[in-house]
Amino acid sequence: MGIIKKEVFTDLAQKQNKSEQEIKELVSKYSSLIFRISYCILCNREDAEEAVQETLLRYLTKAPEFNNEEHRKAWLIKVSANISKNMLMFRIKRETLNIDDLENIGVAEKDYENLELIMSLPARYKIVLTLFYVEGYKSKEIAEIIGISEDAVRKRLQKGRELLKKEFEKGELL
Amino acid sequence: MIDCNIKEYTRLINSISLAQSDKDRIVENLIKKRSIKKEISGKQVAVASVAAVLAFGVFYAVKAKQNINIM
Repeated sequence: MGIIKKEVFTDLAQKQNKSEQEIKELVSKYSSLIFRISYCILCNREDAEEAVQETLLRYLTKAPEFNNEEHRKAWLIKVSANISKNMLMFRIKRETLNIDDLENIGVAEKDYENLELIMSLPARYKIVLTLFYVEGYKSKEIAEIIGISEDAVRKRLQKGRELLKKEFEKGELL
Repeated sequence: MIDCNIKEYTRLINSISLAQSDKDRIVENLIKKRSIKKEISGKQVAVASVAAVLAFGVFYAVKAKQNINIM
């Protein structure tokens, strides 16, 4: 009886360790990606970190079966974007970035002004630009991930590029 | 052709990241939150089961009373 109990206990402990290991791997692999997406929408470090936690928690409790790694990544991007948009609806939009935030998200001091310009773009353009240029997705894939038409993605990309150019010209940077 | 604005955009967005200490905090919170969610879902199942049994009991009690009244 004692042996059985010990075996059950060891099994539970192993499962616990395994799940902790799983969480650590998950955070190490995807947290920065999710953080970038959420930061583009929320422009706030604390909220973006909360969105990362919420996304990963949803992954741990409700994630479906994935066909491959790309499918998993796309699911995480979609969920984090939705969570961030919902969070944005429930709080007052910040007009400017907090300088302390910038110190804590790995951006060099010389880049603060440029990042401020980028973050002043509307979230819908930043998401599309980020998925296309930073994450390397194609228009069709972006359309599937964020649930809009391919045409709308192309329009947002074009408009986003124009706005970005204007912002940089206005700021006379680069 | 990618213009310099886009190059700058890509570089800056790529530089946004979480420090190891933040990642560690997220891991810690996730472990806590997941166990809380598990507890809650266990409790919710228990409450739902009790509610179902009670509803079942009430339904048959009412039905039995109606039968008695008819007789």
